[in-house]
Amino acid sequence: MSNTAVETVRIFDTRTEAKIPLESPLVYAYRRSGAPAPAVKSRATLRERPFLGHLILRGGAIVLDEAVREVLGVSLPGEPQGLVHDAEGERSIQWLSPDEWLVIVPGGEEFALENRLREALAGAHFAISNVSGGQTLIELEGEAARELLMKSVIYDVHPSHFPVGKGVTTVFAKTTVILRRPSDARWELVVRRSFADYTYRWLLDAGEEYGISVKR
Amino acid sequence: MCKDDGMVFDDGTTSCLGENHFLMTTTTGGAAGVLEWLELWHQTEWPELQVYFTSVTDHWATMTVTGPEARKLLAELTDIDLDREAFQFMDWREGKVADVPARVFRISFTGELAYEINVQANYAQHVWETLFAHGEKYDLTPYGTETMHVLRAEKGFIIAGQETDGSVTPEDLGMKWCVGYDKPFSWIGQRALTRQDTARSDRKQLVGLKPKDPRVVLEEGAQIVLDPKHAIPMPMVGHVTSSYYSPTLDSGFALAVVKGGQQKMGETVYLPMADGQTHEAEIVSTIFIDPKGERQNV
Repeated sequence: MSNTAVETVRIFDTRTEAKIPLESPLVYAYRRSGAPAPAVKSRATLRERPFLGHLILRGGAIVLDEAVREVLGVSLPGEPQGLVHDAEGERSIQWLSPDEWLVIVPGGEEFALENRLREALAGAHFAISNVSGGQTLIELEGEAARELLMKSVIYDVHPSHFPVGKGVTTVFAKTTVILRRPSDARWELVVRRSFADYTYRWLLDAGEEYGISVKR
Repeated sequence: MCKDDGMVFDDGTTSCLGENHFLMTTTTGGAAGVLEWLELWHQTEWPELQVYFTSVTDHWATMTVTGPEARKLLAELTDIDLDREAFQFMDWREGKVADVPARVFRISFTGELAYEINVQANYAQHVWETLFAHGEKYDLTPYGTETMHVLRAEKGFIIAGQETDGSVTPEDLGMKWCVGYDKPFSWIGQRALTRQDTARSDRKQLVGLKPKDPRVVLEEGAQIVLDPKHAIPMPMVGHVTSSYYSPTLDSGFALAVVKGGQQKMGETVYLPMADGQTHEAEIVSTIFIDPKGERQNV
């Protein structure tokens, strides 16, 4: 690789093709707290999307936007709390702070994506950090999903205040989560590994009255 | 790392991964505070510095293999050249451990030969289990924080928040060696560390304490006096910061801060306890075992 930006950092693919069992941040929670099977009466449903690629992008919006459009084919959400997906809905970029975005892509794509972004950003001031092992994504759906969130987060999740395409970092039952709304029916929680077990058990507990179930 | 008053508030290691790429570790509970501290100074005082900080705490799982057989065990599982010259103390290498991409740091908090293996956390259980499958013949065993506390204290390694309390400078800890006084620019704590008060020789300084009776494990927090016959209130010259029984020394031993302690080696101090007993201890070096560092440098 010839550009200076690539030469001054030292990265490697932390994922391997070798047949090694991966364990999501929720592995212990499933073992300890179980995963209630979906039932007709379930008004809230959880589904973990483990082992996705998670990258944190840091830099100026203008320079990052150019690179992201070139490499991912979507515009960087420049407005605070913006969340955008690609056409397939498999890749997303979320505004986290004025110079910080979270990119989530299918697992295994993240290292190649990081390298392509680094090439596209050559010469600019930016940082990309792979945090794929450090967090997991939990989808929350069902007619009681919003009610469950109302019990758990301090943020106002009313549709008038939390439309589709919005994402925030907020307090969830005294811990921190990234909360996002990719579609009318679905909410997503991005939780850090250290708090995944706690968050999961909180969701099971708070969701009990809605017959919460877990799709695995 | 110092606050602007020159007092130590956290410690850790920083590794240079590339010319513009660093990985910083902190104490377990200090990570968020250190990140905020870096952001605060970057955003308020030095916005012109082109740098970003991102937490990768949850991304990496770190396992430390430590002890005289650490090299032999790790060599069975890695493609990294572990030769003592090829991979020296305070260096790092990239490779595979148990077929998992890893960064391995040769850093030691136990005073023994040690390798800190970092892998993406989703692979940690596999690496851990592989280490233990291969480690059985070396009597590999997990060790907890209590063991770690004893091992590090025997070496005089501090714990921020235990040896420090917000009033301790790097020099008080005998760690002047790690302060870059010759940096060509200003740094946090620079002005404070040149004040008369931080330069005076009778500040409380970190020392080792060896109880005269090896069966005594001094109480952490116990006050230290020079004259136990002095009328109460006695002038107090310091206190015990860490204290344990050491199986290696077959004796209690302690770290303490004592006024002007670094100039008091070999002197006797007294620790009057609430129950009326008074313990006697000798001021010694903070390094109780392997003062030359030969065991971590094999």
